[in-house]
Amino acid sequence: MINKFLNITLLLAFLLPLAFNSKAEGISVDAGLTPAQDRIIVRMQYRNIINKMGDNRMVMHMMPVVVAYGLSPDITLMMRNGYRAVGENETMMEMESQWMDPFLMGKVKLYRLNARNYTIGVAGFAGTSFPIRNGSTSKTYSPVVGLNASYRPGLWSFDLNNAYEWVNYHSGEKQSETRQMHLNLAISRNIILPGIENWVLAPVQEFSFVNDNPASSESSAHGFISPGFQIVSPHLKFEGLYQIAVNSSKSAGVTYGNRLILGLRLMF
Amino acid sequence: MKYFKNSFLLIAIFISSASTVVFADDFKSEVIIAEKDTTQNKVVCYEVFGMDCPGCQSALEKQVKKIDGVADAKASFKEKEVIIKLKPGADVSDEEIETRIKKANFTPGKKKSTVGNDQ
Repeated sequence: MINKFLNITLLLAFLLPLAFNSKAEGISVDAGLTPAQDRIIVRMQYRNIINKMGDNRMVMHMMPVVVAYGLSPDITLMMRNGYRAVGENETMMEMESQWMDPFLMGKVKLYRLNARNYTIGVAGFAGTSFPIRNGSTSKTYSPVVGLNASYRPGLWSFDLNNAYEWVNYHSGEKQSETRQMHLNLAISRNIILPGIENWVLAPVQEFSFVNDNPASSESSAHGFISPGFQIVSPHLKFEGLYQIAVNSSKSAGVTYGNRLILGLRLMF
Repeated sequence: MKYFKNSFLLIAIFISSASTVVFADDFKSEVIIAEKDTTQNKVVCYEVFGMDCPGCQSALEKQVKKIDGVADAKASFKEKEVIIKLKPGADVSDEEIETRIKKANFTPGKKKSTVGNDQ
C-alpha cells in the first residue's frame, strides 16, 4: 500500500512540468545534513505571498513540491516543481497562473560528526532551473550554489543556509537579470510530547536575509523574521511558518509583504 | 572396619550418581539452548549517535531492516539506540549492522546487549 502510494506520488512529482526558484528562505530541508541512503522525502508546501508596487497589491499562491532521494549517504538528489496561482494583481506587471520550470539540485556531504551529545554537518549544493516549458518566461537558467551547516546539540537545532543565485541567466549575454545572496538561520528545539510516542513538537525561529543585485538597477537588501513550528513523526512532518518582512520597502520597486508557509513532508 | 567400608561404598555410589545427574542436567540445558537458537529470535541492541528526531528513527530502521536475517528493528533518538530482532537461527555480523547504521548517516557506538543465542 505504501509502495503504491509512493509510486503515485513520485510519478506525479516528476510529471509536473513546473519549477520553483531556489531560495534560502523558508523551512530548511535538513540543511547541512544529508539524508540516509535510499531515503525518499516528498515535501509539499503552500506559500501565500503578498507583494506591493507602490500602493498596488499582488497576491500569489505558490505550491512547490520537492522530491529528495538519498543516492548515497554522501549525495542527495533533489527536484523541485511548483504551481504559481496569481490571485489579486493590481500592479502593471503581467503575471499568469502557471506551472513553473523544473529545478534540479544535488547536495554533497562535506563533513559530518555524530558525537554522543551533538551532531555537526556541513554540505554543499548546486542546482539550476531548466526552461523546458513553452511558456517559460525567460528561457534562461537560474543556477544556484550554496553551503549549509547544521549544529544539533541535544534537542536543539541550528541550521545555517547560504546560497548564491544567478536569477534568469542569459547564456548568450553571459549575464543574469539579477544576482541574489540568501542567508538563512533556523533555530528550533524539539519538545517531546508526553503520552504520544514518537511525535515531537518543535517551535522554529528563522532569520532570513536576501541581498539583491540587479543588472539594471541598484542593489537592495531585505529580510524576514519568521516564527513557526514543526510537528515531527517517523514518516510525517507538518510545518508552519509566518514570515514577517523586514526592510522590504527599500527593495527596488517591490515591497515584500508578510508570507505564510504551510507544509507537509513525507519520509520513506 | 566393615562399617567404614560400607559407608565409603555408599558415599562413592552417591557421588557418582549425583555427578551423573548434574552432567545430564548440563547436557539437557545445552540441548534446550540449542533448540532455542532455531526457534527464538535473537535480539541485539546498539548505541547509535546522530539521531535527533523521529524522522531519523525511521531512516535508520529502513536501513537495518534491509539486512538479510533481520526480522524487525526499532530505533529511538531519545535513547540513542537501535534494537534489532533477528530471524530465528539468523547469523548477522556486527560489521554488517554497523555498515547499515553508517549508510543511514549515523555512527554506531557500543553493542549494548544481546538476548538469545549469544547469552
